[in-house]
Amino acid sequence: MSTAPAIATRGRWGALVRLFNANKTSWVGLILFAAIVLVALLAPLLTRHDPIAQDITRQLAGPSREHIFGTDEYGRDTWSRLIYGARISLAIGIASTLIAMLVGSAIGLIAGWRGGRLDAIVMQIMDALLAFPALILGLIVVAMLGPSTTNIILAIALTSIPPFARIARAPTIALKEREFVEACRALGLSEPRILLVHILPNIMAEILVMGSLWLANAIRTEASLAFIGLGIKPPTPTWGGMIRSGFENILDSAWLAVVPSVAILLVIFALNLLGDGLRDAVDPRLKNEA
Amino acid sequence: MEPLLSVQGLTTAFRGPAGWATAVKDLSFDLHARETLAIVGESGSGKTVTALSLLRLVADANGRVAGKALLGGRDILALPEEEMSRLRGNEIAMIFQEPMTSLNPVLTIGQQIIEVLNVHRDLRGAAARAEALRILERVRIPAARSRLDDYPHQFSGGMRQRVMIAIALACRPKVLIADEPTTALDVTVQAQILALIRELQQETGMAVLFITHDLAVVAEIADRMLVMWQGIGVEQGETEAIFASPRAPYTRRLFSAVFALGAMRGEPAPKKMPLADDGPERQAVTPPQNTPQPNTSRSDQPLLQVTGLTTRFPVRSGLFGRLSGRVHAVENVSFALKPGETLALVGESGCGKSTTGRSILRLIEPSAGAIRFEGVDMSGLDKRALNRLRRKMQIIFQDPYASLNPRIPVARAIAEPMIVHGVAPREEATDRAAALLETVGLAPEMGTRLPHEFSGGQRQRLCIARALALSPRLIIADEAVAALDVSIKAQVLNLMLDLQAQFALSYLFISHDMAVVERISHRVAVMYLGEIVEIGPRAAIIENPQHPYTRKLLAAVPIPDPTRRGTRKAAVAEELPSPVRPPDYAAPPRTWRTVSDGHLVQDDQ
Amino acid sequence: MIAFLVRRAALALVTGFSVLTLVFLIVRVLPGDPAQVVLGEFAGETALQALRHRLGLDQPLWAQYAQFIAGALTGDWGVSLVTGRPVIAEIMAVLPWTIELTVVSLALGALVGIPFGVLAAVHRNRALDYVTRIASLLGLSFPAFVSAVILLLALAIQLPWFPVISAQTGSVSAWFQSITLPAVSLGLIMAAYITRVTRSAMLEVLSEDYVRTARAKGMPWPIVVRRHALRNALIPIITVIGLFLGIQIGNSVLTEIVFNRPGLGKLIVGALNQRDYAMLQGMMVIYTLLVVFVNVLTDIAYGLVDPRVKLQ
Repeated sequence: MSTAPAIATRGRWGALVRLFNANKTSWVGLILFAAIVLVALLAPLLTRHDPIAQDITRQLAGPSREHIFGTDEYGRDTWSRLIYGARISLAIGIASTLIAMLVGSAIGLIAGWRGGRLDAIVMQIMDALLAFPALILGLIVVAMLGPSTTNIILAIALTSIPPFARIARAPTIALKEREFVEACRALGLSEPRILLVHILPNIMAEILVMGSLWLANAIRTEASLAFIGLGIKPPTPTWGGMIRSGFENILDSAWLAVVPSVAILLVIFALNLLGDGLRDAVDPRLKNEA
Repeated sequence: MEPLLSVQGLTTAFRGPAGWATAVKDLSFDLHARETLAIVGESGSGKTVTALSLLRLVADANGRVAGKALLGGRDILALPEEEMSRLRGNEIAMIFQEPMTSLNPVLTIGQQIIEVLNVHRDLRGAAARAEALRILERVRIPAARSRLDDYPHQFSGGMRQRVMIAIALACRPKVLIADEPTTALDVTVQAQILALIRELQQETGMAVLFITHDLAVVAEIADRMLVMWQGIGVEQGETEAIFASPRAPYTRRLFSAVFALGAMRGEPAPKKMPLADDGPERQAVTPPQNTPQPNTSRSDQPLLQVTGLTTRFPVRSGLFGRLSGRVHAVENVSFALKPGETLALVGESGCGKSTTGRSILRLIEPSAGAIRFEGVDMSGLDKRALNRLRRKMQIIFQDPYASLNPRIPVARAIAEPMIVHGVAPREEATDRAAALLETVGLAPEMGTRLPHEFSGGQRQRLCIARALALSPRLIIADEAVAALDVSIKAQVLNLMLDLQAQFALSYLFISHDMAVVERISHRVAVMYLGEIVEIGPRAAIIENPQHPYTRKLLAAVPIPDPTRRGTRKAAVAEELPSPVRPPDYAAPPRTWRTVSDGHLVQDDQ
Repeated sequence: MIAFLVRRAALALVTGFSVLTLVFLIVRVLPGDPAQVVLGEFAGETALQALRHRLGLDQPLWAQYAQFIAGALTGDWGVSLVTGRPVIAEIMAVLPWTIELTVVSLALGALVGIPFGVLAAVHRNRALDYVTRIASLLGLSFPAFVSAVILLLALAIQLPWFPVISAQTGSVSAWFQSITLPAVSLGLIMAAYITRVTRSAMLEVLSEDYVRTARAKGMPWPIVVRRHALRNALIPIITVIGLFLGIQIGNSVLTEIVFNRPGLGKLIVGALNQRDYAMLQGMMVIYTLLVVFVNVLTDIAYGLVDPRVKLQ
C-alpha cells in the first residue's frame, strides 16, 4: 500500500515524456529554447567585450574577427549586446508570464467554479481587457508609468492575464458539469479541496501549454515596446532597442537590424514549436480521457 | 434466390500506435431482397466497422480492407473511388446512430435531401424540391412542406432520424445499412422508427442490414441474424432458430444476459440474472445463484420520505435575461422508500427522473417540497449537518468514466471520502479501499491504476466501491447500467443485488429500461413530464398498467422473442412535449386513484 | 434577423462602455502625475496646477469619468496639447490609412491562409501538411516590426523594387507600390494565423458525423470539403479572425513606423514622444470604437454563416 504514491509519481514523469514524444517538434522547440537560455545565462563567458563599452572608431562596422556580428552606431559589439540583451528579454518575458499565469488562472478557476454574478462580472472585465489591442494597452500603461523594468513587466502581465483567465475558466466549467465533480460533492468534499485536488490538476496541462505560447508573446511585446522607444532606457541592451537602432541606421548597416531580428525570431519560433507541439499532444489526450 | 449482396471473407485492419490490429476477420454473409439481416454484437465486436468497410468509408491511410463484396455481380470493394461514390447513397445507403450530430447544422434539411437528388438522380429545381417533399411526407414528418426549409437543430432526435431515413431512401437503394439507428432514441420513438423502416422495406423491396447490440430489437425486426464477437462471425442463421437454440458459447452467454420484459412474472422479489458465467472478474461474496432475494427491510419506518418535491429551472432570454419561462423538471413528486428496498423511477428523456435523484441529494437545490431521511428533514440542515447526512446517501452515475478523476489512482479515489470525513485514518482507509475492491469483484492490486486502464464495466464497479466507502444506507443509481454492454449490464446488476443482500442497501434505481427495472425493483414509479403518473409494486405496474402513458411505454418495449413479433403500425411522428412552461403557470391539482394495495395511478384529464 | 442585429448592436454598446471604462480606470488609477510627465521634472507648481486644471485632473474621479464618457459620445475628444487642433480631427485625418492597411492585409491573409489551411487539413500528415504547419508557425513567430524591417531591407533597400517611404497616392500603380510591402508584412502574420486556424477547424469538422453522412450519401469529395466541411469550419475561423483583428490593429502601429506610413500608429507614437496627454486619451476612444466595430462585424458574419445563431 505504501508503494502507491511512488508509482503514481513515476507515472507522472513518464506521462510528461510521452507527451513530448507524441509530437517531435516539441522536442526541437525545447532544445532550441534551452540552448538560447543557456547562451543568455553564460553570457559573460561567451564574450570578452563589454556590451556598453563604446568605441567611436568602429561605428557600424561589419562582421570581423574582432566583432563577430559587427558593431552598432556607438561602436558597441553587437554579439555581446545580443547575448546580454537576451537576459533582459527572457527575464522580463518569464517574469510577466509567470505573474499572468498565476493571477489569470486563479481568476479563471474561481470565476468558472463559482459561476453566476461573480463569473459574469469578472468575465466582462476580462473580455474588455482582451478586446483592446494588447500592444496599445501596454504602450499606454508604460507611457504613463515610465519605462522601468518593473513597469514593463506589469504592463505585459496585465495584457496577458485575460487569456489565462479564459484558458482556466473554460475547462473548469466543463469539469464542473462532469460527474466526477458531482460525485465529489455527493461525497461531501469541501470546495477548496475539490478545486485544488480535483480540478486544478486536470487543467494544469492547458495552462502550461498556454504559458509557453504566451511567453513567446511576452517576449514579442517587450521587443515591440522597445522598438517604439518604450523599452528599458539605453545603454542597457535590449533586442527591440537594437532593432530600432538598426532601423534608424538601416541604410548604413544591414547587419545591425538583421542579427537581433533573427535572434528574436528564433526564440519566439522555438517557444511556439514547443507550445504548439505540447498542445497537439495534450488536447486529443484530454479528449480521450474526457 | 440470388443474394442481393454477398460478402465473402471481409477482413479489415487498422493501424494504431501498436501496429496493425484486425477489427473484422474473414467475415462472410449473404443478404437477400426484402430481407432484414441483423448483425448483433457488443462493443468492439466489429459490427460498425463491417458496415463502414462495405461502404468503403474506412480511412485509407490507416485502414486496410480485404475480401469481396458482390453487389449485383460487381465487387464493390474493388471499384475505383469515383464509381464507389456513385454507388453510395444510390444503391447502398446508410443511416447512423447519432441523429443529433449526423446532419449538417448549417444546411436546411431540404438542401440535404435535394443534393442527393441532384447528384444521383439528376433532378433539379422545382422537380427536385417536389420529390424531396414527397419523401419527407413518406417518412411521416408532420407539416413537411414548411419543414423543408428548417434546420436540423429545429428537429428532435426522433425526427432527425426520420430525416436521415428520408435522405437514405431518396434514391431507392437496394440495400439499407442501419447502424444502431435507434440506440440513442427513447423507447417509444424507437418503436415508431422500427415500424417505419419495416414498412418502407415492404414497399420498396430493399434489403436491410441492421446493426444493433439489442437482442430484443433483433427479435422484433430481423429475419436472419449474425452474431459477431471480436471481429469474428460466431453464428448466423434464421432468427427464430438461433433464439430457440443458440449453439456457439458466446451466443449462449449473450442470450443468458438478455433482459426480457415479462421474465419476472410470478417472481415475488428481484432476482439475479442466471448468467452462463459471471465473467472474468472474481466472484463477489454471493448467496447462491438463483434464489430470489429476500425482502431485507427491517422495519416499516421509511428510510427516505419525499413529499411534494418540485424543482424548476428558470429560462432567461432576451437582452436583459428576462424570465421567459421555467423548466418544470420535477413537479410535486412524492414517494417513500423502505430500508433494503429498491424503488425504480422510470421514464423517457426529459421526464425528470435524473433531476429527482439529484434534488434528493441536494446536488441541485429543489424549489419546494420536503425530503426526510431517517426521519430528519433535509431542507433545514446547515452545511455540516448536510455533509454528515451525505455519508448515508450516495450516487452512481451513467457514465462511469466521467465519474472518476482521470488523474487519481483508483484506490486513492475510493479511500478519499473516508479520509476526508474522518471515518478512518489514512492507513486504515487504504486497507478498507482494498477490501472494497474485492467486494466489487476486482483485484486489490489494481488499486494503483488509473481509470482509463479499466473497462467500462470495471469502472462502474469502481464507482460502486467508492459509493460504498462511507457505508451508506441508500444508493441512487442514475442510469447506472445504461452505458454498459449487454453481458456487463447483467453482471453489474447481479453485483448490486448481492450488495443489497449483504449490506441491506436501499436503491433508488433511475432508468429508462423497463426490462432491467423489472429485474431489480421491488416497486416502480413511472414519470412523465416531471410528475409521477403511476406508482406501485413491480408486478402490478408491469402486468396491470393503468395510466395511458405507462401502457404506451410498456407496449413499446421490444420483446426478445421472435415468435411474438407484434404488428406495429408506423404512426405519425410524435414528439415528447417539452416541460417548459410560462412563468405564471399554475399547476392544475391532481387526483389519484387506488387500483390495488400500494398501486396508485394519477387520474388523467 | 432584425432582432438579431438589434441585440448585437445593444451588446456592442455594452462592450464599448466596459472597455472605455476599464481603460479610463487603468489610466487614472496608475500612479504618477500626468501633468508632471507632460511638463517634465523642472516644471513649477503653478504651471503644473494650470495644466492639471486644463486637463480636468483636479476634479473628483466620477466627474472626470462623466466628462470623459460624455465627450466620447459627442465627439469632443479633447484638444491636442501640441497642435491645438481637436483630437478627433487629427484622428479622422489618418484613420483611413490605417483601415486601408488593415483591410488589405486581412484580405491577403485570408486569400492565402484559407486555401492553404484547407489543403493542409485534407492532406493531413503528408508532406504538404508538414511544410504548411512549419511555415505557418514560422510566419506567426515574426514580430510585426521584424517582418517589416526585413521586407524593407530586402525589397526596398537591397533590391530597390519598392519605395522606402510608402505613402503615395495618385495612380493605381503608385498605390499598389506603396501598399504592397506594409500589407505583405502584416499579411504574412495574418496568413500564417489563418492557415493554422483553418487547418485545425477543418480537421475538427472533417471528423464530424455529418461529414461521414455526406460521404455515405455519395457526395463527391470536393463538394464534401466545400459545402459540408468548410462552411462549418468558417464558424470558428471567423471567430478567431475577429479576435486577431484586434491584435492586428496593434501591430499596424509597428508597420506604420517602419514604412513611414501615416495612420493611427504614427499618431500615437508621436503623442507619446511629445507627451500629448490629451491626444493619448482621445486615441483610447478611437481604439475602443474600432474594437467594438470589429466585434459587431464578426458577430454579423457569424450570424450569416451559422443559422443556429440567426434564429434564436
